[in-house]
Order: sequence, then C-alpha cells, then structure tokens
Amino acid sequence: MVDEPRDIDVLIEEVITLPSLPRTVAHISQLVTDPNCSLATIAKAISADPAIAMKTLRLVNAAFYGLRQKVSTVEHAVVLLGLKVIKNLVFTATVFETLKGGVDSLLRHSVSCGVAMRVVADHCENGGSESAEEAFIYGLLHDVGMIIFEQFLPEEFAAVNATCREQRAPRYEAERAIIGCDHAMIGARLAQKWRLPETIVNAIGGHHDLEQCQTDDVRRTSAMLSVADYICTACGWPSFPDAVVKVSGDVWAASGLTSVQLPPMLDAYFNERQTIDELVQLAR
Amino acid sequence: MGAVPFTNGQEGSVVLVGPRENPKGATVVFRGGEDKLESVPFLEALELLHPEAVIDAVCMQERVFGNRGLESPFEPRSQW
Repeated sequence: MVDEPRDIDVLIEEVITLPSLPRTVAHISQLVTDPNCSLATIAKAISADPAIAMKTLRLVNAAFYGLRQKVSTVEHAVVLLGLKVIKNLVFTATVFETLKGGVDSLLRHSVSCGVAMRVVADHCENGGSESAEEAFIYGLLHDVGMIIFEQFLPEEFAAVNATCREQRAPRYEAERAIIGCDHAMIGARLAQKWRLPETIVNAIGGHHDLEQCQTDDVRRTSAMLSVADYICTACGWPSFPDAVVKVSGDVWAASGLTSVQLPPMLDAYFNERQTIDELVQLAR
Repeated sequence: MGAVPFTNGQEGSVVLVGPRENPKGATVVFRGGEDKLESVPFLEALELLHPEAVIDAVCMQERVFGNRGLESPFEPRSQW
C-alpha cells in the first residue's frame, strides 16, 4: 500500500536508513587530509579492502584515466596519481559497489552521466572549477537517491514508475507528488551523510531545482548536471526506460552553454562510447 | 524530427538524412518569405534552434546514422 507523501525529514527518521560510507573510504578520506601521513600508509589502507583495491586498480588502468603504463600495485597507483586523484578513485570504486545494487539502466545512466559531466565541464564557458575526476563523481552520484527509494519505499517506487510511464511525467515531479520528496533531495542527504564537499551535496540536491543552489558556482554545476542528464537520455541511456527529462531556460542560462557550442561537445561525448562501456563493465 | 520552435518565435523542422560527417546529413526546413519552403544546413542554423533541439537532433542523427556505437532508437528496450 502506498502511504501519503511525507516530509523528507520524517522519511529519513522513520523509514529510510541512509547507508554509511564504507569504512575503507572514510578511513582513506581521513588519511589524505593528514599532512603527516605517508603514501605507503594510504596504499596499505586501500589494500586492506581487497574488493575496493581490485576495483581501484582496474579503474586506474581504464582508458578513462589516460595512463600510458600499466599499473599493477596500489602503491604504484598512489605514487603515480597523487592523493587527491586516488581518493576520488577509491570513492568511485565504492560508488560503483552501491550503484550495482540497482537496475542496470541506472548504472549505465550514472556512468554515462559521469562521463558526460566531464565533457560538459570541459566545454563550458569560464571552464569548470571542477577537476575531471570531480565532474565524473558529480555525474556518477546524481541519481543515487533512486536506489534509496527502490530499497526502502518499493511500493511508492513502483507507483512513481507507473506514473512516469502513463503520464510521461518527469520522475522528480512524480516522486514529489507520491513520496513527498525527490531523488535529488535524498541523494543530497546521502552525500551529506558521507561528508562529501558541500558543493557536491548542493549540486546533487539542486540538479532538478536550481532554487536549492545557494551560490552561482553551485548553480552552474547543477545546471551542467541537468544538461549532462539530458544528453545521456537523448543518447538512449536514460535512468529508466522512457524517462522524460526537461531542461528549463534558467538552467541553460546558468550552464553558460549555447546551441553553437553543442555539436562539437556532443561529438567529444560520442567518442567516449567505449570508455563508458569499459567503466560499466568495471562497475558490475 | 517533427515541429521545432525557433528562437525567433517561428517554427520549422529538422530533417535528418545522413551521418554527421556529411555536411548535408541534417537540414533545417521552414517557411520563408511569401510562404516559400526554405532549407538551411543544420550547422548553419544553430542560432535558430534552442539547445534542447540541437541535442535532440545531433543525438538522433548519431543514433540512426552514426557508427560510434550509440543504440538505435528503433531497438526494443526492456521495462523495469
């Protein structure tokens, strides 16, 4: 039975248990910020979790990261890439573990959006303040809230799917009407629980509602996320079949992208098709 | 691609006939002076088109005529 829509705080208090960040990632995030911590210590911390270590190594060697030499140990990866990139890599490996618990279309959409976000950030006027890895993580995480809904509110999740199919409604509108909040809002709460930077929390929270964004920088990042989301859907990689995605005039203005810039940007994205396939395989 | 609103308030269509490498692979068609049908190569008409329409057209063109592995829009898709 589908309950009445509820406030997000009530849902998190009474129904939804947001998953904690896995200990390995939390530990590594802490180590990376310690100026006295050695690279060897960080490599050891990663290696202590074989599943994450293996996924991290596979990611390092993916074409996405553009390394010319094969990396076969975590220590080598840490030395080659540096702390910030390694932290993002380990985090990406962890998010992959979370995403593979949902449906395959969502995994592919999230990975595609991560790659799209990186391309969009490269092509936006004024450049993006995000690094390539950060832009990828924004895209990867933006719809993680859907997995939370599927796990904790299965009947409402099914009702949202039906409403979207029958009424051709954008998913966030159906979620707000049926559940009381949308996947972007829940995703932001999860990012907050994982102690991710505020920019990521706010960008995820605002990717269907720019009013949630408190600074111009976050507005721009959220707008870029919306555009990346739209591109993935137009390419045939929606979060779920027949998804309807809309981008308002405000979002285009905030993104800084113009029609003239889009064809070469889209070509750059199409050229990443094999990278997307490779990353989806890594994530499974 | 169906009716597409232009940035100047008018309306037209985007017609896709070939891959992106072909400069004539996509055309924008509209009613011009004296109600005559006019056409402009897609890449020369970008400022007439809203960004969403550009994305829709370019992605569809690649999915139908391209060879970079995007899924054809004509393939059946499984439901959740």
